[in-house]
Amino acid sequence: MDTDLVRLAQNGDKGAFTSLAAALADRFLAASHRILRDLSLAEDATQQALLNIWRDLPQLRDPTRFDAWSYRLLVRACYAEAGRSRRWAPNLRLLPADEPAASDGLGTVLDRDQLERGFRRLSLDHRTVVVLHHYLDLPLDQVAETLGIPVGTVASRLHYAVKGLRAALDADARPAKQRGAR
Amino acid sequence: VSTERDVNRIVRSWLDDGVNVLPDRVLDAVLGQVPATPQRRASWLARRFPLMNNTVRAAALAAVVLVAVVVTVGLLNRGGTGGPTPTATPIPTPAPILPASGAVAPGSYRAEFITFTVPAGWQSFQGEAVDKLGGDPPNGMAVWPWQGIATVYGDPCRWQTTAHSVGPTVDALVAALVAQQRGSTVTPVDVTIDGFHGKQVDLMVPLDVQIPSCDGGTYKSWTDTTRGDRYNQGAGQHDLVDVLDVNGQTRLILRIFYPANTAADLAELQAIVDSIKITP
Repeated sequence: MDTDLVRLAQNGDKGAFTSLAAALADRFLAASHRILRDLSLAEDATQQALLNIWRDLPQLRDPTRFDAWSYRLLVRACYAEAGRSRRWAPNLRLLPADEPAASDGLGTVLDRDQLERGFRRLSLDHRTVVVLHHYLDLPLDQVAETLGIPVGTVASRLHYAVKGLRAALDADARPAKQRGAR
Repeated sequence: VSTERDVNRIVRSWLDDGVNVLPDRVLDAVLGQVPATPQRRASWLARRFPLMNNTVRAAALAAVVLVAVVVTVGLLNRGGTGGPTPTATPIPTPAPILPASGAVAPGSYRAEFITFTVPAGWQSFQGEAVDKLGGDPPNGMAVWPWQGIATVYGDPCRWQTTAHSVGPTVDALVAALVAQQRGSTVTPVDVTIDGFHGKQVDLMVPLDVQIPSCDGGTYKSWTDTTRGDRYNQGAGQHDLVDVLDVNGQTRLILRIFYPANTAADLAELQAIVDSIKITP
């Protein structure tokens, strides 16, 4: 991120913040949507995170650390949204598991369905690490900096998360073979 | 699945699918709240001042005094010309954007394509609707603008097998809503909001419907192109829908209420609708 923009926004420049927010918006939505698995919650988390960035930006000491800092605020907003009661939310919708698989050679419809279910069974801590590392391509040390936890903890969470997803995929494979055998 | 590398590859591919674009309205809502959101000044910024030496501090103080004197003199001179005092042209201030959540103070707000005024006791739902008592049975209420309705369900209870797309006109959407199986006849009537004409339909959830036994446990009327579905919260609930032609675009104003709502409740709901100004 442009550190000059960050510095300007830190000093209350709304135009600079508008540019920052516009640059972050899509990335934030994509990450929060993948963590929360719910578009409406993800939009709320993105909105809150962007507003918190504006509010807390003067407290960021080192503008070169803006990316990790801003993702930390996004993750916090995701946690807050995940815990919020939604009594009549009309928008809860699974990501499309019934669409044709992309040409990744591995992602069958069943794979994706099982992944969706397996991912939803993961804790928010585990989902977050998976998304930061496997979707945003952040190295483990940057994930650790973003979340404010040791690198070893990140590696451990990632290991158990992938193990859980692998179990979900394997669970899919077993009944498929049984059905085929009948 | 044999190796962790395989799993990682599948997970990465799977994560690549999904929504990637934030709707403009969300970013607009953020930017709309910025002017009313003060920044938290950092304590480490405040600690910079003691590091100034006395010379710098005195120079800064002198500069402030000088600016104050110049401004004061300028104002006094302007006042002595004897000419008529110019009258500022009032610039209308747009209503603030509806907050994303929580109780809202009485006043006017913008959401989606409407500006409206709410009394005390209402709250924001996702920054796109206002509701009272969560819009839930037995006597919640809500006002909710919609647009871009793409799919209507022939039977809201059996929506999984009765979905059909609708055309972009008021007549097409009204015809689709009227044709829904609800166990009662829906008769459209003319309606006008803020000068825009259309049709109003009262879509009531049958009193005897068991929503948990409907498809997916939901009683669903329509789906739009961006946000999601409209499904109901209880038997007997009214969705009073104003389908308007706004310069060739179909726009909906949905108000929600229940048989248990009092006349005073409905008057409050009507007052909100009456206050609506539409931005084409």
